Amino acid sequence: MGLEWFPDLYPDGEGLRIFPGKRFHEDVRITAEVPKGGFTQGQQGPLWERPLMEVRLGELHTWISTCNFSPQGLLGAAQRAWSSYCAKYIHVKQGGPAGISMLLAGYCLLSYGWNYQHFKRHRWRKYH
Amino acid sequence: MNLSFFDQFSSPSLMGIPLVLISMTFPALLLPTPGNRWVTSRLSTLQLWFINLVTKQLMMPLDKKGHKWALILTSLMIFLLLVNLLGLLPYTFTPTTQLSMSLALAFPLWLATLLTGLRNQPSISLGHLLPEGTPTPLIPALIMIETTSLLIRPLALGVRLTANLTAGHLLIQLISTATTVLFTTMPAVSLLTLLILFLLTILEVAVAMIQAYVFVLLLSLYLQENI
Repeated sequence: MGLEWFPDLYPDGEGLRIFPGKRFHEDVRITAEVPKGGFTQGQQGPLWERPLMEVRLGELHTWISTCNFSPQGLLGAAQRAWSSYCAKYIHVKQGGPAGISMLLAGYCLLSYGWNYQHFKRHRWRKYH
Repeated sequence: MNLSFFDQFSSPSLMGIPLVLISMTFPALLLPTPGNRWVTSRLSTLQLWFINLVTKQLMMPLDKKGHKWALILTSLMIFLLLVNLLGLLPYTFTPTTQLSMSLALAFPLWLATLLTGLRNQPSISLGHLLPEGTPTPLIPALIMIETTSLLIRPLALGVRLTANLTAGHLLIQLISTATTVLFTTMPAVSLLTLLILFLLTILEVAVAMIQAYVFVLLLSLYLQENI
């Protein structure tokens, strides 16, 4: 691509993506709060359309049964989760170190878990 | 005892996925893709500023033909920088401590610069084998020496990166082991060792950044000779 790639000709980061296809637009989730009639307090809509954070504990097993566990469904869920995280902590005008620090801490924990079988024996060694 | 110190350079696999794969793909998560907004986040601005700085610095000595290499050299620089710096976090794995990875990066890129030179301007590229003004009796010896120096470049590139990072990680592990062991018996000496460890960590951060820069700078120099 070199220096002949003009970002104006490729809106939305089109030429730069690793995975082809349309991107999930982050601001689709921002909707007006319209109260629908006939619901008890706390209910917000059909169970299968709600994101995980708005599902109550008692309804969790029902919600999981409505989940799409195919590869595309899981990939879509992962992409939605990542987009929500980025929109909340990274793509804000005055973001701080919190967004990246949480990612790095998560990475350290992941590496710890990955290596656990290997160094759980270190505690019991006599000589290091 | 020796077996334990080199264990940090092994890449254990969980569920069949080796850790090296995660440590190579994780840096991609830390770089946000610039969206279609006018005012981007702070991280995007920082990233843009840094990429501009790196690209300008690398591309200044090259002429227009060399600017085709801007993308690969800048992305290589960012990748090596992130991978080296992430390896300094606790329990993480640094893929560049493996000689296989450093050589896999160095060898094809060096070969590409060499073949570019030999294809487009063969006599000038071969002319680099003999510095100007050498006395005539020395010419055969000097040609052989320069050829050896040319052929050893990819090896030097790869081994320099691996050796620096491996040595740094080993030193950190050794000195931290010393600090922990000395803490029960001689706390004062342990504090001194802790100070040394602190300074060493600062040095390792610097080395991680410098080694990435040197790798890419040398490649751009080899490109400059051949383009």
